[in-house]
Amino acid sequence: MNGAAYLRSAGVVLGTSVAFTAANSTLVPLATPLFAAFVLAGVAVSELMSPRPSRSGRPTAQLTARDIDTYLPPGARRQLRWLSLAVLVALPAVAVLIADSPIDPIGQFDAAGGLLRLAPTAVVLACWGLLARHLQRRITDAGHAGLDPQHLAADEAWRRRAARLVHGTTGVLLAGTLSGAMFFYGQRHWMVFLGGWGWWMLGVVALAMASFLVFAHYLHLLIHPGPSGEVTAAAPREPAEALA
Amino acid sequence: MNPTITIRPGPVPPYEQIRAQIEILINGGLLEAGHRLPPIRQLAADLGLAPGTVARAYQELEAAGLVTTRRAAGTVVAARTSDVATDRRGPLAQAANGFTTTALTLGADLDEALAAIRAAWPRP
Repeated sequence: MNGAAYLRSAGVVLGTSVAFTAANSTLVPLATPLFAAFVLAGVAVSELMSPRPSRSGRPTAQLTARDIDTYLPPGARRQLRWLSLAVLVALPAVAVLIADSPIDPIGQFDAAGGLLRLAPTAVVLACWGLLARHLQRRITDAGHAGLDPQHLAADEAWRRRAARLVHGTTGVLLAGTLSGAMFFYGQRHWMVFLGGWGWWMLGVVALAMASFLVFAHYLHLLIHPGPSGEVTAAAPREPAEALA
Repeated sequence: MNPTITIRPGPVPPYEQIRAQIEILINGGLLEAGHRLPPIRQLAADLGLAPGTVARAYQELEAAGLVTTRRAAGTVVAARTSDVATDRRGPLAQAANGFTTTALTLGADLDEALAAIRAAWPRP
């Protein structure tokens, strides 16, 4: 791992710790916004450290439209749509179940109040979704480094890395929120029934673990999005006569 | 091979250079019907031009019926009409356009291009 990867990892670790602490306090509506703030701060600072291939300055362009899907793993955007749908369905349900619990952390909300507490989470995830879409467009539209093979390879590597970073960040925010909510609900459920287990608890933990594995998948993409695509000076070639 | 265009300094405005080069590539068959051209912002960023310059070139190509612009598909090369040339000037001009594009891409000047044609021309 390089310095940028450590920064992104630190963002996720701090964000998860702060979010879990907030979720067990009266600041529970701020758990996801705090998680997102730390993750995004780690990504933003790491990006400032990462170099971009410099532009060649030649006003030449290929007449081929660049597509974001070519820089992402196959089916990545479809998988992210499914994850978004899972978050959209599961999060309100979990919020209502937690709010109805006898040991609700705030203790003064009903089901409608539980949904209201989701508002900051919904706003943060929706804002990031729009920003991620804009960033993906910027990644494909950004000017190329040059058309010689060395610059093309560096340009391709930079775009792939940037697209995967945005994709990984989106996945971490969505899957992290989902698995966090599931584990949080599992913890509440366990406390209500004083550690007794049942099929409901088993189901909740299984879902929480599944969403945690999805989170781990996107975390790997976030920490290792690929090489940055720096252009290095070409090695001097031996004259043909010397090689002969 | 991906067709490329280059903006050269000179009296010809950049939008006209873009329009003319894309027209040559379409007429020369290097850009086939249905080929998706890069979005305005992408091409403008690659060439270091303002988006409005590329937009004007695309508008003129669309007005000439060479490309079509749709919201979802972007700007694509239009299907060519099946008007058969009555003399050989049309096909010759198209072939010359294609050859000119190749020669320019390779950095050849007019003399070199004409020399290549003379060398390839069958001798009696």
